Amino acid sequence: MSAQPVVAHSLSVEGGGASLAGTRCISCRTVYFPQVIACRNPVCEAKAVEPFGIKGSGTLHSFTIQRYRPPPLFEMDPWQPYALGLVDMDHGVRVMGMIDDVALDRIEIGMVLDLATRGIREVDDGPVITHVFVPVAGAGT
Amino acid sequence: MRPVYVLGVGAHPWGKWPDTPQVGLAIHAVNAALGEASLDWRDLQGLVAASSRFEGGMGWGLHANELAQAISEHGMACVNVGGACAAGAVAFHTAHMMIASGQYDTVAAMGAERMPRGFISRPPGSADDATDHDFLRWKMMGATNPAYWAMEAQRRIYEHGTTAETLAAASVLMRRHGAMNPNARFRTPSTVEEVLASPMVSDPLHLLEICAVSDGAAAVVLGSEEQARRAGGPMIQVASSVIATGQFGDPAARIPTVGSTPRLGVPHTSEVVSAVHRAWSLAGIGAEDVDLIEIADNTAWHILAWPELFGFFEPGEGDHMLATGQLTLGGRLPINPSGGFLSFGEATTAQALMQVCELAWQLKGQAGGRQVEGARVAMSAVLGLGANGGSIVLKR
Repeated sequence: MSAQPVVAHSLSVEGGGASLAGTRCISCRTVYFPQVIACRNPVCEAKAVEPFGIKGSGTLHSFTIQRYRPPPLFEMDPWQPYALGLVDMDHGVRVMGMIDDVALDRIEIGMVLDLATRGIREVDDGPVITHVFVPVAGAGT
Repeated sequence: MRPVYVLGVGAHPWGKWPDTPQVGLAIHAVNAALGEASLDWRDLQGLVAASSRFEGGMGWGLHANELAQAISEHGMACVNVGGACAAGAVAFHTAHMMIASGQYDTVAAMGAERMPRGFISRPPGSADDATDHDFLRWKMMGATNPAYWAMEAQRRIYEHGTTAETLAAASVLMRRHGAMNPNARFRTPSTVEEVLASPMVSDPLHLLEICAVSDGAAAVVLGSEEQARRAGGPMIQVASSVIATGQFGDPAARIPTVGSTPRLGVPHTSEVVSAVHRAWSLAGIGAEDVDLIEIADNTAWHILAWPELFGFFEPGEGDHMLATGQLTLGGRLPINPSGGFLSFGEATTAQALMQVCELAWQLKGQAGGRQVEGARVAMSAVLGLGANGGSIVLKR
């Protein structure tokens, strides 16, 4: 039994922490998610990039609750309404993801959230996981 | 560059037309525009199509050629352009440049669409790709288009204290305008109570605060000054036509991105803000000169936020402008007298050209019950996937 990311090469779990596969510009240090082949900052001349793992915590910029089931490409099973948020992570990258482990009516803009993972369905080999944001431990939800 | 004029505009009413092929919708719209211009198909020297993502046509979107082969094989130049929901503005811009260059005297821009039902999903056949935002937004989190708009609306509530009733009232305003437009699909006026009682789709946005998807077609025939004098009627000149793309650091929650790099000082929805400001500059006007504006109101949030982003109002001021009647007929800045996307439902590639139809009808005084009295300067603003922005200013 091992967890597998819902999209290969997008997400890893190392040393207990979740890490999204991003990219960093070698010159201007802009961090991108998902991975990019070149830096798109117009004032950056070098454009060369390197792999960069996005991890840790961030601040919730905004959120919504999806009340209708999305098209079938999203294979959450069983399905129920869930929260989606935009989280400002370190190095100025804003990442979208599900918000988990908090009641839908307790989510607030400005709250600090940790990058984590959760299963969205089970297959024979174990859970299929995606990245989520969860309240930092002990924040009291 | 020489001056360019609108010779005629036309549309097929918006709705669900399962029995009318896309080419049929398109021919209806172009016929109507040619009628206003007193031209026949064989008089068109060029046709620019806002090409579709949803209906293939010949070679996945060669719609100008398809029309030529369906109705008039007289050798006109055919151009097919993309730009997603801003494709109509790109088509208009291209037709404008063809006339302005002096090489063509009569060119039509056309958009026609038949939309699939429900959430706009990932195009069939797209490859799985861990670097593709559109793949990741569906596969990793199931983020629908309304979810993006909802997060903008939620942020506005946080920053400006916008209420649920204000968002609903913006939707009600569009329906009130749309009720007076025979081309609109939803022509029944609504109430704040009805909007708030409609199902919550993506908090804080209810079903009646989000544009539906529709079938429809619109066309604009542009021409030289000589052609405009021949066609007769008021001279409607293209004061400016601009297309733009986004700027690095734009803080907008842009469909379909799952990661962005917001930076302080960069305009929100920069592709459209850039187009609007350059359109003002090229037309030699400012915000105070605009008699009406047609904007891409995919949701009620857009009605409140977009005029602020362009600089018509201060951030957060839109709520008060709506409440005091400044956004309707007789107000400071009538928004979407057509009824907007909320009354039409979006027929993606046709939508920006429907906007131009409304601008022209308003300037000619042909807008009936939704007429903005004495309108002399009218403009549009539209946004398309891929960070496409467009803005067109017409003047009488």
